[in-house]
Amino acid sequence: MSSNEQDFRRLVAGLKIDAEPDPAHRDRLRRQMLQAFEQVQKGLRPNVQQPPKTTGPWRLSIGKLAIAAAAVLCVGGVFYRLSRPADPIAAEIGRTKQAMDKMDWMHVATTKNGDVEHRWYDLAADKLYLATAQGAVWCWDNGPAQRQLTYNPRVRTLIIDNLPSRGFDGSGSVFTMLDTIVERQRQDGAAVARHDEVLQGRKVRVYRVETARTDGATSFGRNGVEMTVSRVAETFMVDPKTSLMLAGRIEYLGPAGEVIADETLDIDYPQTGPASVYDLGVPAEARVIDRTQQPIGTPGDIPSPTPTPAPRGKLIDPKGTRRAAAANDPGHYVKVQVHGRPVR
Amino acid sequence: MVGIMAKSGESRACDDLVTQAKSRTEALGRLYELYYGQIFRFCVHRLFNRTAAEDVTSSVFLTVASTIRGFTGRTEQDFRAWIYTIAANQANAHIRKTTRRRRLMANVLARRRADEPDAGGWSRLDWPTLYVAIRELKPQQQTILTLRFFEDMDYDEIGRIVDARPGTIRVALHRALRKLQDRLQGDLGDDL
Repeated sequence: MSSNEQDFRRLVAGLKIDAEPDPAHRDRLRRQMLQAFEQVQKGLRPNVQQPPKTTGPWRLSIGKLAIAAAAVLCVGGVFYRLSRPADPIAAEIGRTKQAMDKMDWMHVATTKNGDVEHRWYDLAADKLYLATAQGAVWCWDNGPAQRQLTYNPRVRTLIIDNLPSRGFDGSGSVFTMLDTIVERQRQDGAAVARHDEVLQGRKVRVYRVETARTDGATSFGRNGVEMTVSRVAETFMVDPKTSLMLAGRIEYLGPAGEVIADETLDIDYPQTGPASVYDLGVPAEARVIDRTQQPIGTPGDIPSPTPTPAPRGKLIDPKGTRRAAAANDPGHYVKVQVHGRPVR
Repeated sequence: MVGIMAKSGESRACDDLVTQAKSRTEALGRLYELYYGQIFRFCVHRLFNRTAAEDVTSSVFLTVASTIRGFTGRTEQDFRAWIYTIAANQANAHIRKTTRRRRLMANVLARRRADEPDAGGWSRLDWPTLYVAIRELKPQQQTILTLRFFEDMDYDEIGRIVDARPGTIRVALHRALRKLQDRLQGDLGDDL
């Protein structure tokens, strides 16, 4: 990369940034501004209603990462919500939840934009593994270790870190984020549609929930542009015999009902799963950076300051020494000159 | 010559508009039409998020509406510098309030980099990646960089907005680009 301005200008010119204003916002703001101006002209304090500023984590650009996390966690979230006692479908969903809880492992293959990501839930050990099609691997260990492992295939480095103190969605971790989603959905109170279908030759029960998102949640669309999600439609299929969830589909809808992003989930319950991130393609020779091993300094651990190196080079001797040397070698100090004059 | 005169006449008309906007609603409305798009785009470039950009744009124009009576500038150039100063300050204030956003953006960036291991060199520098790197600069440098490269302003105009001499802007921009270069090289590897 060159720091040359022209290079940077070319780079900026090639970026795809959606900076086209929304005409509705333009008109609304125009009215508000002129109203405020007229009130000022009349000597009144402007009493314009400020545009609503959404607060909270979803107002922030959580983007693709949070959407990806939410996609899988919604799977559980929707069942938690549906399992409210007052819900007529609660009994069915409650059985599904119990059945899922009994499993040792849950594997979710998420397909989005043609790429497949695999998640393995180690339900017994409270761990989640995530492997992308490009070779990136994550592990969130919510057990006693409380560690997060991230492997970046480009630099072939595995970083071990503490679990984020606040999860993607402001919750304690990726696991407890579920509660946040459940609570949000509980407040929405959307109706649940249920019907039966045939999936790969067997009868499945299909649940569909569509919830409004008025909290400013955003997602990166297919063109890489961040867009506001207005509604989220979730469809889940359950095997009525085993009560286990088998598949799902999550659609993130824009203000006009357009699908910004969608994901399909294929779920199975293997007997076992990866024992570590190395089972998911992390090479054994990958560099490991352990950020959890930060030494905590105490006064006794502080190293003593490095002494100043002994001076080197030619120094003008102190006066007494010079005199003593001059007595032995009268011509010696003639060689030392300051501003062209010999120093005596 | 005719072109220069025409330009001059247009410029005078805009200057009149600024003077009239201090007391007339219609004139302020026309100024709004002239500047809404520019300020919104500036906010998108500074804040990344469209919703945040709309919030800050609203705040900028409401500030203009309530304070334009006390605005001492007489020309459109003065007004332009004034409104961009308001926008830059409010964007910086918004960023300060949303420090958590930096971490979230870093998460997005980390994920994006891991997802795209095959691309090489500049082609990997998409907008989110560049934005995260720009956010590592000082607020003043961010503003200068945005005004220079996204709003296409010259040093004199940027100097009026951030209240600094053109030479200072030039040096600040040079340092900002160098820092950005270091940052991006550090993040994306040595093959840049």
